Amino acid sequence: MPWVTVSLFLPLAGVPVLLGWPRLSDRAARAVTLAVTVATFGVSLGILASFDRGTSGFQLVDRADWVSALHLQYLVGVDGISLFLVLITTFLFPIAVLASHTERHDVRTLMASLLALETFVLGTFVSLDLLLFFLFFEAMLFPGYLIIGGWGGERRAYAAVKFFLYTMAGSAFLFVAILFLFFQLHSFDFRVLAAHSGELPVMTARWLFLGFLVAFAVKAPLVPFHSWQPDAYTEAPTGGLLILAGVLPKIATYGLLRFNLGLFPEASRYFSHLVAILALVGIVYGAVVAIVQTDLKRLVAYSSISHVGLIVLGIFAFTQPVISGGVL
Amino acid sequence: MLHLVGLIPLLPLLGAVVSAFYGRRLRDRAGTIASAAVGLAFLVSLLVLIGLLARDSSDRVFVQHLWTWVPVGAFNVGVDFRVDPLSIVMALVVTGVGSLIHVFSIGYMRGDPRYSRFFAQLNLFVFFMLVLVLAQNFLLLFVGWEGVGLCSYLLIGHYFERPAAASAATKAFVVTRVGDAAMLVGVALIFVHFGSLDFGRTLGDATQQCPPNISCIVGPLPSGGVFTAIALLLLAGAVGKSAQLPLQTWLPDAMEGPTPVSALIHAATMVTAGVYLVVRTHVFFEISGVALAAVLVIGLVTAVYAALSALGQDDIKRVLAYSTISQIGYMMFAAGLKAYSVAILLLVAHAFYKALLFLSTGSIMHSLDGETDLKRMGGLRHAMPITFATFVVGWLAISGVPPLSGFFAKDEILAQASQTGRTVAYAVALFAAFFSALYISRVVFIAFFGPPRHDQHPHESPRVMTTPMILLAIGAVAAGLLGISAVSGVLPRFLEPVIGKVQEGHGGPPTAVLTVISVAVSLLGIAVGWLVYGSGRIDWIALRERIRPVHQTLAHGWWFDQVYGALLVTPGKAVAAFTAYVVDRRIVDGAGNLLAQLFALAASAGRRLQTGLVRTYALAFLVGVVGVLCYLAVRF
Repeated sequence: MPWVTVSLFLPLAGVPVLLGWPRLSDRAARAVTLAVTVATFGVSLGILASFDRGTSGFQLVDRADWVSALHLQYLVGVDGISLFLVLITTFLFPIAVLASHTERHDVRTLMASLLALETFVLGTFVSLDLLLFFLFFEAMLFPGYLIIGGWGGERRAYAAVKFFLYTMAGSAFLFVAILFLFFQLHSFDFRVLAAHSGELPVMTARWLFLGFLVAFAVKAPLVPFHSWQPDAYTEAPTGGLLILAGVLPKIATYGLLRFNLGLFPEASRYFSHLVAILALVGIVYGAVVAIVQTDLKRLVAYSSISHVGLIVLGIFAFTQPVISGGVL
Repeated sequence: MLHLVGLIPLLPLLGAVVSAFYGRRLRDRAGTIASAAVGLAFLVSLLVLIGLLARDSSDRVFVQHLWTWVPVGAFNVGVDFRVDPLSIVMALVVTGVGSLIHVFSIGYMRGDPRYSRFFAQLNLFVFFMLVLVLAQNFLLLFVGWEGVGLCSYLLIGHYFERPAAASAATKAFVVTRVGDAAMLVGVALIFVHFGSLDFGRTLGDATQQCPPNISCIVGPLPSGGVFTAIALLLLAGAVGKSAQLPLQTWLPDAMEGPTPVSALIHAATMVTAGVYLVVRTHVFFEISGVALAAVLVIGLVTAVYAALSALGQDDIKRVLAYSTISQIGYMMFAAGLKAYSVAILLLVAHAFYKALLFLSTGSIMHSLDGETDLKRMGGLRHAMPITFATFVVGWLAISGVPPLSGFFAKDEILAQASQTGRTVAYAVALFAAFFSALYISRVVFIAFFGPPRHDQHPHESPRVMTTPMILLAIGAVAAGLLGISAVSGVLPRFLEPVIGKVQEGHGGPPTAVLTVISVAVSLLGIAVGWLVYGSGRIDWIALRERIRPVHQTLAHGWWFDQVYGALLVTPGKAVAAFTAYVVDRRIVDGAGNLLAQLFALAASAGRRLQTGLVRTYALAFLVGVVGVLCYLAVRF
């Protein structure tokens, strides 16, 4: 049973139903979405059950050729870290659906956006192909933009555009880095890249590390790339905010852990002080600015910046207990 | 029997959960359920005590490992509870006094709109306090430590519609946080140097043959400087939690909370957590002489500071708050003298008589419609005889009149100070004792004697409130029996395997003389109190107007709040506001928006090429073709 693929695309399967069904009432739309997200959670429990805790490495790997001319393949799988994050995600989405029960207009499209978002988010966690990861990583921006812009607060247009452009700008560097890696090592497969990353010249590895870092630093967010976040949090609708605050930072920290540490170990050590300082600054900065906030959502946003700083600090401290703490 | 220890914190936790989730349906019954939970926990504690007593006195350490909480490589922390004489004494105090206060609250909080929430939080507090005192490792202790801080915040802010209550709750949390942060660093240091947070491996009582002694620690010993650092950091946490100088400013304001909260949290239990911590980790303090001296000095100075400040308060609860600060100062002083069992004896006695005083105050407030201003009381002894009687017991206990418990504890501390040659400390402590008797006598004489200065009709409180008060009064009297002698008393001998014997010094005047002096000082304090406040011969209000600057200083706690406000709070808020509005909004955000505007500018400039006129496009086309032809001509 290809658990991972099923859990990945099950939410997406709900989208045509929601958008295409004639005369679907709001209540029915919410019910369908809730059913789909709960089912996805159930499937992810199946992943958990099939997971062998004894072995290391990726499990439940599904593979298919997609665009062989571009060397783009569909390659997904889970290991200990991503399994945990998949479970959190599939657990949070039903709650987010429930939290959106106060939205009144165009419920169908909101629900469809949430489902699409779930698929793309899960995709980033389970992708073992770097290009596939990037596709999902970027694809998340569309439903995110729609949710903030369509159902958000007063300044939602500004917040949505800011969110979209800011994170996309960061990801541009990621894209270049991924392509560069491909041209050097001739594969997008993460396992292959991780095994051969030692063959890269040291300076190259460091630049690539920075490229990956920028994208994840914007997403996390790390100070000083955080400006999109308070506005996005403040203007986002409650259900969307749940995902925005609960899941997106995890994608960024997962990216740091998986790709920055996994592909560029020497560069990670080289830059560890820099990242640690950024993280520390974020912790203090986020907390200090949070003190004077009168808007509760903004306060939560800055508090989130502070906490993500703590996670990143943990990841780059490089000791095993710390990384486990960071994942938690 | 000893295996039941896990049940002790579990019962109040269940009570809290029930009250929290079914509060609306239970309404008034929430109070009974909560009291029963703590009462049952007390009974279980008694059973555990019996189990402990059944063991030989050298074998009285039992650790119950419930489950492994954090199994991350070398950092392995379990949910482990410890039964030893010290922890069981603390547990008995918390559950015993706690259950009486719960019962009192049933009557006191009747009619409160958030009745069940109050009891849920009160139960939750007892749960965390028990986790704190029963913990077998520093992490679990810290969980309890933070948990009681949280519940204190919630309960102080019970009347949150009042801005004073809301800010008092925040102040309590933030000030103790300062201490907690230092303590956390201390705990981290312990892990770094010992490789474990378990009491057995860090405090050196790994086996029965090895009494708490640093030589029993397994593995290489860290250097002396490390112990000083650890001890001082832990002390910082204790100072915050126990409201000692310089982190004492939160406690008087914490009186905004309901009086049972003041009785339980801010008199009998949470504030004594600091003393418990110091006594529990006394091994660290003894190795580092500096830290132990710090404990002594902080305790003594705080005791004097607070005793004097108590004299300047008109709000009866604030008097008791400063009194608590002062009494805990005495406990710290005792610990600094290495008389740990006497410190614990005072802790137990204080729990009884301070809770008693607070509950009696609550009784007064209950009948005077919430009045706390001493100037508006008077003559209450006729209207409220039971409350008067119990308050008198508390009064005499705190003044150190024999044979009540307060006398034994205080006398032994003073004796220890004198007999270990610390004459100056002894004199200062005696000075503080005089003022202790004085400030509490002042309250008694103003509130209960003289003509009534109010126009209300006070009445005695209902039995659900007076019964716990009476029981606490009995405790306040009887607790003295536990420690008639610092060396051979029941409590000191019971605690000896854990915290050692009180070393009897041999300097100074003999014990009998010291006892006479301390009793005389107590009686002197009462006498002066009678003269100034009770006899009616002196207009004390006019008198203090004459020494207005002195009185104002005492009334404002020697201006600590004002100094902290000017040095820390105002600049802190300014920095935060600056960072948020100038740095974040203008600079960081502005950078992003600037970038966007640059693009927009470039776009609008570029847009001008789109004139919509065909002749412009034709011209551009011509220029382009000419350019390409020139280029080709030059290249070839």
